Amino acid sequence: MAVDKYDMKRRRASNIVWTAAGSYRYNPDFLAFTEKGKPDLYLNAVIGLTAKYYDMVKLNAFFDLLNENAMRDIFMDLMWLGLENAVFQKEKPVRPVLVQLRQEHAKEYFQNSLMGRTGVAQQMQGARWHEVLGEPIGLIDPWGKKLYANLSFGPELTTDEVIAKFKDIMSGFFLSRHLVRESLER
Amino acid sequence: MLGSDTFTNGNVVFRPGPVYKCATHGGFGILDEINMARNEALAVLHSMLDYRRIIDVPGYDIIKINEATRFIATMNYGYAGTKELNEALTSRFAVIKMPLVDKANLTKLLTGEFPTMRPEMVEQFIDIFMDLEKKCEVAEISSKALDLRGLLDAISLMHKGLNPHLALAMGIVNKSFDEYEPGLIQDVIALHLPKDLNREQIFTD
Repeated sequence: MAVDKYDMKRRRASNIVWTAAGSYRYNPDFLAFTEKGKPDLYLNAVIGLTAKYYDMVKLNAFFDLLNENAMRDIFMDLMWLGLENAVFQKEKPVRPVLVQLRQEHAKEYFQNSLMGRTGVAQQMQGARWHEVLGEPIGLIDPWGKKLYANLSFGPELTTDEVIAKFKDIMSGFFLSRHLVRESLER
Repeated sequence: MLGSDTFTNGNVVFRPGPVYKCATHGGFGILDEINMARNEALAVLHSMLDYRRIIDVPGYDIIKINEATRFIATMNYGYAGTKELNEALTSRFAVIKMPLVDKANLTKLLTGEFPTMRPEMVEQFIDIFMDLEKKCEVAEISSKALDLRGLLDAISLMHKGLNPHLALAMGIVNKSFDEYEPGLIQDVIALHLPKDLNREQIFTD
């Protein structure tokens, strides 16, 4: 029975992705669930919209590349944060409800447990959802502010440009300075 | 269909039915929703629809049907509660498959039925229907949720002032009695309509 429920949650999450993608041929590698284990409506829509607007063969190849990196968890989270902004801007004109769904997601983010939200990805996520709610983004140091600005991918970017931009972020913000910064923080 | 016996001036006489009248006078006879009728009842049509072109009214005459008689049958294939058509009956018709209603015709239908609906909301309701249609095509949900009449009824209820999400629950979501399917349908609606949507945001009047 537990397996059935798990499968039904996955099916529901996949259906949100497919609805947003407008295609049932896309087999999502990512699905989003809330802390309570329910399919996350907004984030699964973001995954579907990414498939709608970008070349998933190229993006999946890039995700595979990220997966091999020692900082894969941070990079994955940040890449999705960048994509979230881009697909939101692209889809908003035809799906105005996204504005409300995004705000609801932002509110839920802060209502959930804040335990363990201390890394750079969590800082950037927090900044994004603060901004969505019209609040100060809460970033103090210039490094963080600049990184956040770079993670607001614009709707005009193509798949290749999104990938190139993120590679620039990886090399410009992390491969040298972040490691130093992280070691100093420890 | 053919007719029935009735009393007239103390005598039992034949009272012609619509099929009999159409066959004798000529014209178009519409056998609406033919797959909702019992196949045994439709068997009386066989002699009329094939090369014989006659009606045998039991206990009365055999009549040759008028040259100008045409019968058109309609049905929604696969609709819950309907029957599979008898092969002998199907073979007597030329079959035209009608395409599913497309976006342009749905727009025409919604704007015709609800002339005061805001254009951006017409788009969203059509997208809900098209999304559900896609889900039916890939068998993620049953066809019960793909209910255009239910959608129109729901919008009509919204126009009367009912909460839009409640109206859609009554018109579409609650027609699925599956444990999980209503959740999938609700997600489609939630991806198009805000939770706090009200009548003023949908209609201009």
